[in-house]
Amino acid sequence: MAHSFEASQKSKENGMILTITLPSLVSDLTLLTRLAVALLLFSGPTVGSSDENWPEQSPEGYLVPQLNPKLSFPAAHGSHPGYRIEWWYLTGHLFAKSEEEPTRSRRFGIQATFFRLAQRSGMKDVEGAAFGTSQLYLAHMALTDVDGKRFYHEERLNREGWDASAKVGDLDVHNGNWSLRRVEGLAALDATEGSMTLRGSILSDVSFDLLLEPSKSSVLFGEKGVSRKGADPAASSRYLTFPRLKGSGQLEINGETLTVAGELWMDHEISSSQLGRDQVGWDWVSIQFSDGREMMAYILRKPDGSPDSFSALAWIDAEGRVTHQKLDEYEWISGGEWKSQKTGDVYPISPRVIAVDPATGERRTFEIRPVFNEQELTGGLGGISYWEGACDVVELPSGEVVGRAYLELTGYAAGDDLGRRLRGE
Amino acid sequence: MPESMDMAESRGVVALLFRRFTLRHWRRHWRSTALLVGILALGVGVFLSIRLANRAAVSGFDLFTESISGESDFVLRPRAGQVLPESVVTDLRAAIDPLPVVIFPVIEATVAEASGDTTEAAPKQLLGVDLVGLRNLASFGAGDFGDEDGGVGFQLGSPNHGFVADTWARNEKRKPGDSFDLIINDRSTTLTIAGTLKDDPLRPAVPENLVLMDLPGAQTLLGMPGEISRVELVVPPGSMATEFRQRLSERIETLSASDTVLWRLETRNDRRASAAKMTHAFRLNLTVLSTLALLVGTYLILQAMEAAVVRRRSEIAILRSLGVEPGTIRRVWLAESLALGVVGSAIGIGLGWAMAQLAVGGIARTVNGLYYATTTEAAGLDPSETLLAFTFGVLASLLAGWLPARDAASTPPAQALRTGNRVDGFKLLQRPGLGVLVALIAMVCGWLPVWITASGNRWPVGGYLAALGWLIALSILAGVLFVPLSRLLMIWFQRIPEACYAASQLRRPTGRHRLAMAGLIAAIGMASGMGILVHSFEGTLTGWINQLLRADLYVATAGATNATNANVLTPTTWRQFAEDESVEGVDVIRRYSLEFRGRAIKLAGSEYNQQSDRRIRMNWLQSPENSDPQSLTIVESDGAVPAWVNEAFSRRFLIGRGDRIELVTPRGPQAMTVKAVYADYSDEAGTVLVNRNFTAQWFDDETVSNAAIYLKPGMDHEAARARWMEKFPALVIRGNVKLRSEALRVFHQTFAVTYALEAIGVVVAVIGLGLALASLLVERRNEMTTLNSIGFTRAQIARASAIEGSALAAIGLAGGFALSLILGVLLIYVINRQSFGWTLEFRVPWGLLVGLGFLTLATSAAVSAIIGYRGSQLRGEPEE
Amino acid sequence: MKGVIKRYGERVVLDRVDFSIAPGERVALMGPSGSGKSTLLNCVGGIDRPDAGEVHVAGKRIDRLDHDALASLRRRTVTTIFQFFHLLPTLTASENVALPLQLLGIKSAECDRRVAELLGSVGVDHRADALPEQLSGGEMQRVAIARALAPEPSVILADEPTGNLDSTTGESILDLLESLSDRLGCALLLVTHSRRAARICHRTLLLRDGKFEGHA
Repeated sequence: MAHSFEASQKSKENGMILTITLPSLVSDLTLLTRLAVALLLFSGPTVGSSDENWPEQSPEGYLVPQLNPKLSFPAAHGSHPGYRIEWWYLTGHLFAKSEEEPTRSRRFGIQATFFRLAQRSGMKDVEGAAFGTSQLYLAHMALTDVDGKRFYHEERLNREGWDASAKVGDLDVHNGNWSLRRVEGLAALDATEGSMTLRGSILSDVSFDLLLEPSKSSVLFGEKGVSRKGADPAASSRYLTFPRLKGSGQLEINGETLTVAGELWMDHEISSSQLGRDQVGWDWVSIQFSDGREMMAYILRKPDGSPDSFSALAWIDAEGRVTHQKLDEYEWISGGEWKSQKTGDVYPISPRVIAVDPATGERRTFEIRPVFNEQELTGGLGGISYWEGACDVVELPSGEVVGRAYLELTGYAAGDDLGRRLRGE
Repeated sequence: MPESMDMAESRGVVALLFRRFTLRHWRRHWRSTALLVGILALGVGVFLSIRLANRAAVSGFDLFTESISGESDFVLRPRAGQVLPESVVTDLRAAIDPLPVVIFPVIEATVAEASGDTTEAAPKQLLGVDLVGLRNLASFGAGDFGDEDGGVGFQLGSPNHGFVADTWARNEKRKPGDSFDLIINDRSTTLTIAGTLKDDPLRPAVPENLVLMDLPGAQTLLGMPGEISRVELVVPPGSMATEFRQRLSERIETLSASDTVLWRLETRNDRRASAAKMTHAFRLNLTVLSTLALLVGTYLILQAMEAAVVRRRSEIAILRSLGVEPGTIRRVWLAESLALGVVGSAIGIGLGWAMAQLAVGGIARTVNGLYYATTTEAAGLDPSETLLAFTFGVLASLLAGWLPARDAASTPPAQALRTGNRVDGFKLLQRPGLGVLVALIAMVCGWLPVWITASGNRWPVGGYLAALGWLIALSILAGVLFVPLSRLLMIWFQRIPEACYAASQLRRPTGRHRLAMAGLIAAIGMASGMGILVHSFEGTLTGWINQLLRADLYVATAGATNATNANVLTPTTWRQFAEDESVEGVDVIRRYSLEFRGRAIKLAGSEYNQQSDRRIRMNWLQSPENSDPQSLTIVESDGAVPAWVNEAFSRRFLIGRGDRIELVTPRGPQAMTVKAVYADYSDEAGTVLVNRNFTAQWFDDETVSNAAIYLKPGMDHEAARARWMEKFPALVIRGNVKLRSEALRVFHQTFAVTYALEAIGVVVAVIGLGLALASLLVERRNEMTTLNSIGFTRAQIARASAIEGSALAAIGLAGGFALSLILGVLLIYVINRQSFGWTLEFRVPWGLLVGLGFLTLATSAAVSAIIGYRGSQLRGEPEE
Repeated sequence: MKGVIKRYGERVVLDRVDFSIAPGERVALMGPSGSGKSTLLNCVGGIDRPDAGEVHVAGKRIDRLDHDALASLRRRTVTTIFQFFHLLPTLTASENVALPLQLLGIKSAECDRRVAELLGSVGVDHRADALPEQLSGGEMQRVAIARALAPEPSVILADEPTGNLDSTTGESILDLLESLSDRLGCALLLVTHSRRAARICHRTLLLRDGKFEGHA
């Protein structure tokens, strides 16, 4: 996760050692220690796990995603403050037509993530409070300039209030000048009519304004509308995804204004606990195949590195139908170790996914290949580093590029056993 | 020799002469060369130390201002009053969207840390910022996480938790979880230390008096819900930062052109300027002092170089007689001066740095007492100041080498070679006509008007030039005193041979005599000139305070210990005083910061009691038709509100009785008619005084800054004070006498460091005098032999030296005192009036002058005696 | 002077010198440069202290006296005349002569009379108010002689008194010294290079390498 403002660096550039922010005074503060880890909070076991005993609330009093939910739209795209954790997670690939070389286009990977983290269950701020304490909003933005071989990222944390909030009942999330808003439509799970805007920036290097329109309707992952992450039913989420959004708009980068277009993937995941016991992190990938289908796959890793049985894979066909596969039906083979120069952490950035294609029944092997290696978000506010980057999907053994992907690798930071920290051990 | 015995050859001669004479001379007379370098170093050192100390103190403010306001690109402050509604940030975000700008609201207040005695409460700077959003501005690593440094559980938004400087916590032996008491407005409250802010070598020290809170908590604590003090805007770094800053600036300017916005834009330069203004008086002080150092330093260097030239005058004459042109000789000397100047200045820089370390503590203490608490910044070796000092040293030594060498090189060799011939040296100070001319020019300069810079600072350039002119003029003119004084001494001490000998030296004073005298004149003149200013100031202030302070008790909150704070008495509190049965009447005043013609001023709303016959008396400069404060309640027929303005306001804006002004308040622009101008020595920004009824409406505010209480006749002041102190522990209630003494204490604190630095100036001048005598004795080593052979004892020679030194000092004192009277007049009637806009009575601190004179004479005599005693055994050159 | 030894560092300047001078006697001290003449003179005048041996002046041992006692010695008993006159440049001729008298505490009226008399006796009474730089070399030396005679000393030490003067002036200065020492009965120790100067003396001592070379 990005350092926000590299204040010390700026000071050096200005030659003004005296110009130090008051903010830096507070870098010692410990008050926010727990904020970042709240991202992925583990919740204690809840009694019973059968459908009849499915809990409504976690022991802390947060809501637990219910089976076979009756969702209303567009409210389902909006905020759900009764749950502890919620995120709107966009990743995708953009292309800009170059004026000098009309035949070639510049390629970019983009990541825009908005998190909502409830601070205490049932706590509400005074209506309209400018400086609330009930919710914190963390957000990440990253841009991969494939041709320029540069990776830009920024991280941001704000409290519920005047400069960050997520609307209940509709999609309207913002954090400073970053925002994700529904413009129109999107009135049902299977609606393809409608649009959203995504506005963002990365420091003073990058700024963009995109219109997003679904090429395909949204889908809900998981059995009975619930994506389970562990044996405890509380460790589950409602996982709503737009697997293919057409994106178009303006990208301003280093003083250059580009007209861009491309395809994005958007997850909207709501939960009160995201990791089960004995899980230390996850590897996750979203693939947009050239044939119009998509795949979402992840493994939840145990301390010994082996995948947890709650790991999952899902195929989405051209009509938007989802086929789920369990760990016994696919393989995730880590590979392509890359060591970060910045953090020294080692990430397996070229994994292989081997799964049975539901269309043909064939076993297929896909290698996820990053456009380049340096797509690590070095932990700033959260203090947790992770790797998330634009990739190509190569089918083996043919070597044919069959799609594009976004790969996320968490829990690899040295000395940072995510799961243990989450459990406060 | 052909005409084209060109530059190359001449340069060769210079180099040869430099090697043969200069270098050998240095080797053989290394002691006197070292002395020369030492004098140079001292001159440069004094100059640099005062400049560095000054800079450290001033950058102390800047640092503090910066440490609050961070590295913001823009700061928005309330256009009128003290606060902005917090909703302005939401409007701003909408107005500048989607520019990547961090909008950072801040609430701030000066509060007091409660201690046993509330009158001594230490001021604390309470800063409320969004502790979550703050992190978006900071750069830190994962290592900053963790509770191992003892942070305590802390709820965002808590009005009971604050972060404090680690240094303070250590000094006070407090740790996170402990609590301490703060006085906010008129109540006392307890705060728990949520954590400490550590110093880090990469950033300025955390101000020791800082209390940092989460913004909503601070709002609650300060009783200012929904309000903020200012908004900071920061554009993040990046390749397009300049572009984004430009776009932001355009939008902000468009917005601020609208009448409806509540804020005004303040740039970083504005902020610096306001810090500069805050310390204007103090800077003036230091400007005078560093000029003093410069002049004393120049005299020292001139003196040293002149002595060197004189000592080697026969060498110059011999070279001339060998056919070396005067021009070549001057070049050799310039080369020598340059070399000495470079070495001396380099040493002087080290010396200056060391002295600055000593001076800066004193300056910082003064500043702390007066304005904000600053972080005590070590006086660093600032490159530009160092370069300035170095240049000054080298140029002064070049000048000092050139002037006497020119004289010497142009003297016919035969005259110079004659033995027993006495050398007067340094001709510049021997021309009374020149002195008269400079004095005339100085007189004219004194009448020049003030120069106002683009940023609105007022610089009395004419006044400064006049002061400098008079200083030079008197340095020259005081030389005429040597001969009469010598004659007087000859007559008085006819029968005392050492006195006659000493007096005879003054009959034809050398350049060293004159330069030592000039150094003393500069030091004494400026020291006692400042003394006159301070004394006049004090006298005027005392008289003014006595007129002003007529009530029995004065009530303020404990936080109100310095000039810049917004601590107030709530209406429920102050009305209790008014309604108390022992009280005859109450005067109250409320001050607001406002903008007038683009500059910060104060608007005061006051309400004077009608009960007591002891009423506040203004010192009128332009008196009103009706001096009854009650007349300020009557609105003019055209709706304008009657107002009295103070002298600073009147002078700054050239506004007098009968003029109309318009001030923008939160209730819109308000028209006022100026009815009178009054003297006010507590404010240099300018104040407009109206009846409090109006300000209460305009600002929707019933609080007051302080209250003056008139007790009913026969009431016991102390008993009333004790009773109220118990009832309102967060208030400071001072008796009349106590308040007066406190006002004077603050006043003296302002000038404490001045006295110290002036003392250094005088000491250096006395040292200069000692050095002059030492070099004269070396020059007169043959005379020492003679005196010994005649039978002078060491004690007699020491006494002769003491008499000579004292006589020099006496002339220096006479010239210095004359100069001080002139400087006093200039400082009071020209410089002060032009830069602060205050009228002061001229008062001379006779006690101080007599003391200074006595001390200077005594130390000069002592220093000279020691030098004479040590020099008495000098031997003439062997005569075989 | 008995067995006087004076060293400057390694160099022995005076090597066991024995020497005496009677009241009223004029002795010329000659020798090449660096032979120790001036050092001998300084030892007699109490300006230098011998490393060994004894120096007696007017019946008083002086080589162990402190600064003040030596100063007192130079005030009244031994005075010096220099090659370069060594008048105090800031004092007039009469003030220069008056200085030793003032040192002896002589009242100003008496002092003025004696100064006038002394200047008269050396023939420069007409230049009494001139500063040294306004005087010629001969006049300066005359003033210096007057100053040396002022306290009526027992011994006058003269270090090349004519060395810096032309021969005619030098002759007249020598004559003056001869007549005055006869008249006042004080001893004169004259350091000189010139045989003509030695002419006025009763005897001549030749100093070479810090030792006397027999009597001439």
